[in-house]
Amino acid sequence: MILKLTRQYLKGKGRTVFDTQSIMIKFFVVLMVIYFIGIAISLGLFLNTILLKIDETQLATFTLSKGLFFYFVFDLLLRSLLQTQGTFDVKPYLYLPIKRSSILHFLQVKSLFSAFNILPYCLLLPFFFISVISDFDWTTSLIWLCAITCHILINNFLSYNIGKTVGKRLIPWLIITFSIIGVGVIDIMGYLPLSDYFQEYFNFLIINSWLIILPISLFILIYFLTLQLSRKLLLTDQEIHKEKVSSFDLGFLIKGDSVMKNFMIYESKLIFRNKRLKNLTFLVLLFLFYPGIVVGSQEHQSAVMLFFFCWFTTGVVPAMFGQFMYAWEGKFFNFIRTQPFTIEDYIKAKHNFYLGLTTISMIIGCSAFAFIDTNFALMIFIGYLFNIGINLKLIFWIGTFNKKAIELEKGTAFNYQGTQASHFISNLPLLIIPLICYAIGYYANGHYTGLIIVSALGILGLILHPFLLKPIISQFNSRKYIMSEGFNQ
Amino acid sequence: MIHTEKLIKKYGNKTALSIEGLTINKNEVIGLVGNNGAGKTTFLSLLLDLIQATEGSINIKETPVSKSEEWKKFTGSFLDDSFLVPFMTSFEYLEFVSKLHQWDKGDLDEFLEQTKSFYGDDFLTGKKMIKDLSKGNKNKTGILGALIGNPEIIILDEPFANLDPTSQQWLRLKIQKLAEDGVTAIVSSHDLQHVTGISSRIVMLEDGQIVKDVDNTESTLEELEAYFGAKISEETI
Repeated sequence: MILKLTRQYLKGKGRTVFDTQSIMIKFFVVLMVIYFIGIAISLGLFLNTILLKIDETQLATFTLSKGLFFYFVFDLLLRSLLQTQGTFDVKPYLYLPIKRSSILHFLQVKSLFSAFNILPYCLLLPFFFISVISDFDWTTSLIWLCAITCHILINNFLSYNIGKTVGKRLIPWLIITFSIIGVGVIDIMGYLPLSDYFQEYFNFLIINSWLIILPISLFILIYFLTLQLSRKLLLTDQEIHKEKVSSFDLGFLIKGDSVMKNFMIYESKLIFRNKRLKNLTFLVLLFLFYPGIVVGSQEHQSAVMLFFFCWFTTGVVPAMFGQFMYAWEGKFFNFIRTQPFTIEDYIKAKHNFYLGLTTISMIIGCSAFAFIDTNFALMIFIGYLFNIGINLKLIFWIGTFNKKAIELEKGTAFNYQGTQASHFISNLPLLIIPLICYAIGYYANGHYTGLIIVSALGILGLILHPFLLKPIISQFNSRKYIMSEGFNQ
Repeated sequence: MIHTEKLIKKYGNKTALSIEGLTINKNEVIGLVGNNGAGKTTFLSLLLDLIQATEGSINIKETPVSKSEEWKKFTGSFLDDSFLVPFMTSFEYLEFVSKLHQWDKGDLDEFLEQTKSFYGDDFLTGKKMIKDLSKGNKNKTGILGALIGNPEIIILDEPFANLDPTSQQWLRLKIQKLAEDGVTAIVSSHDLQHVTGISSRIVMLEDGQIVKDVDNTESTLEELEAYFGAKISEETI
């Protein structure tokens, strides 16, 4: 039965994921996978040498045990950040004559086939064959492999449980994530040598083979606890996961009672109520402090790179949100098309909203970096001028080429939905134009000439704003049927 | 009110809709009937300028729908879920639509008071987002949205589906009352009882063509039942 379900699942997966993505994305994903596997294997091949360099007095396998502690903590952290919980829709199967327990076991087993569980073996297996077998007899070697496997699987179900119980609630998620980080920090800061305890436990386990019962029983325990939780969730109709509506929007910032204002409030709800956009907002906040990376090493960076870092503080808003400008609304595009406002109002409202967001980013960025280096603040401001003058218009144009509706409930991590090859290419001008403008000025006559050129273009865009809107509207009108058709698919 | 001329919609080589000419007059209630794939939704989508006609034109009040956006101000429509904003609650949605129609709070309150018997008790106070609502409640939200703004034209696709009996009755009476007040309505439905109950004229589509365009009389329901029933052959039952 589990086999049958697996076949069904793979069929669905094959149809949805791989068919809908462009060849470029497939290529990109495959390339990434090969890259990670390559790194893991080569690290595995040299792990023995590295470990012996760290500590010559004991066997590499014993030294590794300490590292395993950090690996498992980091692994748990990454899982809680990135791993997506079973997206397999079980509902249709509940009505079919399949035992409920089969479905549950299937879901659990399915969760094992994740990169988090497979990738470590690319590193561990070379190490296993190079050093573990040569240091120990076969039984002990296998016990070692078995113990590690148990711990990886325990991590898998631990994060599965965390994901299922915490769900989409932000605060508990933050508490758990910071506790995991805390465990690592406590050890590194030397408050409690947890990694040493773990090393002792693991090495003791290798020597006393019968102790393997411990991780195995722990794994079995967590497997069945997870099973119980899943059963409960299945019976409660996943009511736990339904979100409560947050009443937070930016309405208090926007004055007046015009169509424009209402549209902007709507836009802020769009951002704060949907997972994918919430994730993006988080990223935008991170990038606010992007220039921080190069603070202190300004002399070693090229001027163009420095400008890039500063420009991106505000450039991230059009770059992140802009590419799917209309596709966010893909699932309810007919609403947009039939309600009593003109396309001009619609685009203006959206424009003003993102203008506001970019301005907030600029204010935060400028005020934070003004204390560190006024040149940074200046570059952030000039980048901002360019972004609102040119890029913010450009994305409304580029956005009309996207005709895949975005599912707003899904997170950003590893989510390539709506990303097409044409997107990478169409987004390039956003990134390249300001850099080229700055570089031309910089190499011709120095830093300030570069900044003057960029800001002049930005200001020109602002002055021409009403004239630039017209071609955007006619572009939207000429693409509206194609977009509608694409979104409805 | 609405006039279409030589309207053709093709998907690739397949003709989904081909209507020589159709005029819908003020305060007519058109009942659009036909089996799945007959072209009902295609026709309604064309009226709302959601898809592009391969040939021909559609005018609402003498203005082509694809050229002007004026019709949006006096046309209320609800075809499917893509007319609903999934992350809003029903109340927020209706509030948003009412503001787009430049209604003030008083107008909306009055509207909600009038339509009370259509929606249930905790329909407006609920904290569920539209995407988590039942099909029936989604439909109610969309239908209410289409009625906001005192539209002169109302376009509804399968409005009776998933509604509870009380709401179905209410909607029937409401459409009839609106027609008396001069509103033009185009309603597609598979429910022949309902559609003949409200319409002044029945337009039947089959394979994208109008096969029947008649005034709704007492015998129309029987005729329609006979027509669709005739498509069933005994041995397939």
